Amino acid sequence: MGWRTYRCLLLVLVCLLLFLARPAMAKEIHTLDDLAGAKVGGWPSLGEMKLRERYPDIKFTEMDTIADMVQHVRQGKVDACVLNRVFYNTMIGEGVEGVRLLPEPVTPSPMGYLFARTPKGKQLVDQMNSFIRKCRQDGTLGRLTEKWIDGGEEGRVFEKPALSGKNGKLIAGSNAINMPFVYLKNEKVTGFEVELFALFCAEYGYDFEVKLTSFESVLVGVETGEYDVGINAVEIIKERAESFRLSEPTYTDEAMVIVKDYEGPTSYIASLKSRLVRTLITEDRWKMLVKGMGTTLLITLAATVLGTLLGFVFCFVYREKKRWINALIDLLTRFLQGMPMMVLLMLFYYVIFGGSNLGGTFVAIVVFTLTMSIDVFGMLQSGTDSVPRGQMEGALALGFTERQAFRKFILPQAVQTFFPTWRSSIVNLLKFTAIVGYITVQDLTRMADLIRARTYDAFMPLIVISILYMLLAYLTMKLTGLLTARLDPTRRRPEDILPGVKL
Amino acid sequence: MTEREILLHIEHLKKEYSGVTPLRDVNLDVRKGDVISVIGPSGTGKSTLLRMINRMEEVTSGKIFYRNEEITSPHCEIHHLRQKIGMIFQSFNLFSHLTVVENIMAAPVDLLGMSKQAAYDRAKKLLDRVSLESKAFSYPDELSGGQKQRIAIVRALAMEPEILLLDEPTSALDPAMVGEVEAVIRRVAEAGVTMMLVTHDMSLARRVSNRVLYMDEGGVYEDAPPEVIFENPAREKTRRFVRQLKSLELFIDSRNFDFIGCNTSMEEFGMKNDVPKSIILSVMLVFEELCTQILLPRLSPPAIRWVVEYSKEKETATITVDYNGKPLDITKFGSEAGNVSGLTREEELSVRLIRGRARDMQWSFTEGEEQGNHICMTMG
Repeated sequence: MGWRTYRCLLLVLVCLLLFLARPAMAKEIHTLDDLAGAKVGGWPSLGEMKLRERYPDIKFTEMDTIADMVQHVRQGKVDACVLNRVFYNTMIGEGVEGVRLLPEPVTPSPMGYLFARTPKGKQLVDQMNSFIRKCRQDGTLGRLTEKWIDGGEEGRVFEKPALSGKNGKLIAGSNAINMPFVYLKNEKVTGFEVELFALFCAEYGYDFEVKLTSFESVLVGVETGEYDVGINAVEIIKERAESFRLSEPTYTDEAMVIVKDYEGPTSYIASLKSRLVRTLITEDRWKMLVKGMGTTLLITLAATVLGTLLGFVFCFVYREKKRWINALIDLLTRFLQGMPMMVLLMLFYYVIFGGSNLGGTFVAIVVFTLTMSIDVFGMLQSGTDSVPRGQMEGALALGFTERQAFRKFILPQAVQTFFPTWRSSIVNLLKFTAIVGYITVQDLTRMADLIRARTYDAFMPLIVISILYMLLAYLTMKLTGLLTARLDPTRRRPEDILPGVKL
Repeated sequence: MTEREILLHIEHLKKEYSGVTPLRDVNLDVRKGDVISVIGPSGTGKSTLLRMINRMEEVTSGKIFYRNEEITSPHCEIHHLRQKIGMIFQSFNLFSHLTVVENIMAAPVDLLGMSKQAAYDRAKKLLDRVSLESKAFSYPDELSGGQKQRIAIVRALAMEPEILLLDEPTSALDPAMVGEVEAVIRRVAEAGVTMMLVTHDMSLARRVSNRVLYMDEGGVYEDAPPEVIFENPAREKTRRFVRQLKSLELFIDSRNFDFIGCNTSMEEFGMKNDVPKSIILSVMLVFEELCTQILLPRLSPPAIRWVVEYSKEKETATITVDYNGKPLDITKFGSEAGNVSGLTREEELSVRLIRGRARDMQWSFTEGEEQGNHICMTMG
């Protein structure tokens, strides 16, 4: 396919996606009472419990992220979402449009730290509670609230106190996506709860470290004692007290309801434009995408080159028919083929290279090199089989050894049948790299996730990276096409056939 | 005349596959300048014998010597010997990703260390000799079967082998292309290259070789000059084989017999024995008119024996047909015989067609025999 055709198709596709993502009509909601019988989304919370209690016929959809909620409300997939006021404010601070708040709060939402129901947990929660009381009295809490919650992003600077750690190190679990309570800024965990916790540690002679994971894992980790504390803007809900110890509230927020902004000041097209700006231009986010694309390309290119070479090595070694080596190659093939790519990545990252401090990118290159080499090995095997047996006999009869014959006559022919599959497996590799986010590699997909977490816009980063992936795949096919055409002996120019020979 | 030196010496050679033993005990000397055709029924290990000489196939037991070197020894570096023992295959086996001239140059350059220029010049000269100089930069796929086989021979000759093994070199070719390859083979033989060729083409065997090996009973059954093997074989099985080459016997015992298969075997018979196309077409026409139009509908169940023989000297084919049932003379009809045979109008038309092609048609009837009717006729 030519570039011109490809460009047209790309345009049509993008238009189609934009059309599909346009806002739909939804039930109009102006007061809380309009919610009776409506579709409501959100994560499990005090606000959600309160709403269900007041309007038993609500249809509730569970959602994990604020970006999901915004997207659902904006597209009319749900009529409203329940969300704390502070999160809404942060979101608006990021320039999100198309949603607004109902004026009436649903319920107060106190937040605190999460501890285990163990003796150590008891000791920590007691220390923490008296520390919170002290801070409330001496104005520390008020100062932090003003800085982190009421103020803007400019003022939010984590002033980390000196930590002696003479009473040990506390391990905290967090998903770090609850701006401004606990979130990532310049790849460091920061926020209201984090600074307060740091002050607590300073006061009681602890050191601490925050491990990043999902909210579910925070709950499980605190319960099993893997984490000493959960710093996750945890709501103080009665039922939670049965399995955990919760500290006194550090801040009491309000659960609110967001609905679609019916009189939204901007049109769909204009909002698309501002979302595109926020996805790419604000804070130079396009640089993140470029960086991510670089990582994606690095992994793909390295794994293609190394994997192809290794595949050829396997092929040559296998032909020597050494029993043990071949058994080993067979075993490796079975092992790598029988494993989902993601499991393989995690296995290498956490188990095989778990003890070393090799980076995720390195592990990803290792894993993709291995899988690519097995692919190439398989393709070469079937390519070799497709060369008629007579070609080998013809060469042997002239006096070539089996090895010479394979290298000079069989392989060049096998490679020709191998090229088309090889090219598409490079494109597959490119697409497979999208899962390396699981082992902390910041590739293109992961960067889009990060942007999404900041802009609360689920849609625009997806559109952008789908275009980028399509371009990358197209370029891969084009470049490998040119390469393989050059390597086809039957397409040589006459003057390249016998260079240096006087004809 | 002094005895020519022995190039290949084979003793007690045996080849066994699981279940079958095509070669039990082969003993043979090949002398310099010999051109040996290996013939015989299928399954007698002709190709296997040839392929064991350059170890394309391993021997079960026995020894093969090339001059003083034992080919069958496990210490033998067979790829060195193969440079001196060329091989031509039925399916040509030209390297399809290389041009004709590269095919020819590959081995001299890589194995003999010849410079590209020298190899190229030699290839050109050899190509010129088989009139294919213009195809030097074609790819094998662009050539006809006959051209490919000529190139394959040139490719083998470029290594200047002492012996050339040809494994059914003309079997995959259209009849029209056999001639050009045969001419090349003869030229190579005249140049003094020792050759051994397995073939089903008896005329090729007769024309190019000075020795013919008839293979049977797990070994060389008869080894003699072509005139002797084809005209005056000494031993029984050779005689039967040669006679069968010259005659074709078909037996029809069912109304739905394999008509197309019968026609094909008649065509093949014609090809093998150099029967002129016109005669074979007549034979096939008579077969259709006589057997399927007249005899089959009348006989239930049919039992027809159909024999064709071809005489090269007289250039005539003789057909003998024996069939069952009541006396039925189809050589006469209508007014001639007072319609005694009771042929219908359609059958009479068929008989007219047969008479248009055949001479000396005779019918006889022997009482008491299963196939009592005999018809004999000649064509050509």
